[in-house]
Amino acid sequence: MRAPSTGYGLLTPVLALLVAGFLAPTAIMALLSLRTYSGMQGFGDEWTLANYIFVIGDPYYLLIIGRTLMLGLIVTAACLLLGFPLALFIQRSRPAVQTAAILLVIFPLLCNIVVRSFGWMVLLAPRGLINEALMAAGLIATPLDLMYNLTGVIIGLTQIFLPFMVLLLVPALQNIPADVEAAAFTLKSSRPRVFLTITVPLAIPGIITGSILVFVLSISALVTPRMLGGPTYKVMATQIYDEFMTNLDWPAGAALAFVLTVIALVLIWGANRVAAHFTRGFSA
Amino acid sequence: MSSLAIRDLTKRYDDTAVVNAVSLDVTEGEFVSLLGPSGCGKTTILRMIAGLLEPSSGSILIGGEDVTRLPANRRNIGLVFQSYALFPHLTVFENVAFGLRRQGVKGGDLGTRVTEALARVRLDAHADRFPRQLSGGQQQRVALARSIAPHPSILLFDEPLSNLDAQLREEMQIELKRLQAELELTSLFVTHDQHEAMSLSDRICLLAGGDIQQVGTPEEVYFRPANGFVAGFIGSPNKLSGTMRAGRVEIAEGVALHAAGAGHGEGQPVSVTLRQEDIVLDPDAPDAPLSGRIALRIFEGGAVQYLVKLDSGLELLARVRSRGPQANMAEGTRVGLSVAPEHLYVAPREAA
Repeated sequence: MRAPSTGYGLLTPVLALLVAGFLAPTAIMALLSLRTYSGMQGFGDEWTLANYIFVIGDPYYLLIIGRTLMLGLIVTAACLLLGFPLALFIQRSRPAVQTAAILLVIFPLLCNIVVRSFGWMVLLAPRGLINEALMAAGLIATPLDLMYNLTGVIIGLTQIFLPFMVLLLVPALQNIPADVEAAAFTLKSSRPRVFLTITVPLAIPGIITGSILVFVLSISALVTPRMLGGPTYKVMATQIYDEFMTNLDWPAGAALAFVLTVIALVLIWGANRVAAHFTRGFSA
Repeated sequence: MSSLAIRDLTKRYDDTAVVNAVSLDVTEGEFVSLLGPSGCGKTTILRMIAGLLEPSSGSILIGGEDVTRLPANRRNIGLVFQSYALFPHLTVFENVAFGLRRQGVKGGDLGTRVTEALARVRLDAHADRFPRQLSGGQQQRVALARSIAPHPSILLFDEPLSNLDAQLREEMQIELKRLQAELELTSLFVTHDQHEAMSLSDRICLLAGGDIQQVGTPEEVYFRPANGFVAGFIGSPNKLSGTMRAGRVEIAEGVALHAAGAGHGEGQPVSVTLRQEDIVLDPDAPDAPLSGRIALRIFEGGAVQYLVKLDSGLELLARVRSRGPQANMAEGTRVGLSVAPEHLYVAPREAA
């Protein structure tokens, strides 16, 4: 009989890639975040925790961290609210309609994110299509602030990440056993009640994975917040980018990056705990 | 418990009627089966009664009240599914409590009603489990408890035993029958299994192609099939084709049988149904008008099946009790065959 460990050899290529391409840079970043800042070299020779204390103590950084989390929450909620009915529609459609709808959902992903963000700029700008149209219709007198603020970034990110939410919700809904909703319906429950007590709880695995994915993508998104938020409306990702590329304060950028990572990991862990509790009856 | 009546119930998809003006009455406390091959419309009828499908025309009355346009949640029915359809995210207790809570049953009363329903299916010790921690038979018993707990007017079954293995299915049949009799539940039971339908039902409604073929007690359906389809579907028949010759049915060149009430014209092509258990084999009359050789003997436990090759080349299956005198005839034995005229079901052959 062969040793049961033989299969681990198959992991070698992917392990090598992960060590060289992910673990090593992460370790270097971790070391970097613990170094002092030096105006001339980017980082000094001494060890310090000052970068972390600075990043989580400074009101400006706290504002950016808070804003980023808020952004993530709102985009996730918006994707869920828009995505759930769409996923239900897809799940309940004929196979041909299903395929067409899924293709339409995937279609925007084929378009470069810069192009899509630019498209939103054309629409949302102070003299953009939406404002021009509203003013021409006489509905508003001065342009609405749709860009270079939270509104613009939320609109852009929601549109960009909606496909991920839908693509994770559809299989979760398809996994709901046949007849379960019909059974609830015969047990004196109205359609809305069946939806709330049966459909939504049984879709929780998809809701949680979709939400985690959209949240993590939102709080770490760089291009769209930069383009629709402008140079002054900053979130963590754009701030990290600026620390590295503009301020050349690598230790501060690295520390902020790790704060972002820890926030993401804690939220993923917490969400999984919540999911495990709600799905303990049917999820392995 | 209430009575159930359906009147000219019809379901059409595009222009094809899958259920064609079916009318049926189920009296209070009666157990009626909808029996038929797959595609006969039996499940469609059940789903229309449950309110999960909308009829194209016709009406459904529960306890005399027209519920045709009511949604499922306002019909006060219980439905047991083939797939059990338990709520996987709820415990056994909460599954059974689901319908009761909608009725406004609360607190201690709720606990009593749930425990009572679970005790009826002997699962009161499993209230805290999740469905997936139970076996298939136990899950179906929970589904049964869940459907009877809210005291429905009628109980509907959609092939509830089909997912269980043979032995468990028989146990569940007995349990179901006992429960139905105790609670005097008005029940409509969909199945494709004639044995299940016979052992459970007060009456059987046999369907084919969306039409009722016969409604009657299991004995009536078995002993007096209304037409060739029923005769061919019930029991384990030999299906032959023949021609009417001089008042007898000729099933092969020179082989003719007497049939009771075969009022068909001379030369009329007919289909003949001959139950395996109605054929009498006699090894002491090898020269009877109808005779042949035993080609195959199949021991089935309670019965022995013989494949008899007639001298004309025609093959018939016959079944005898395994403890009876004819149980041990060797292959190759010559036997005479006889069939009582009233056990021969003859129908004009339909253009297939």
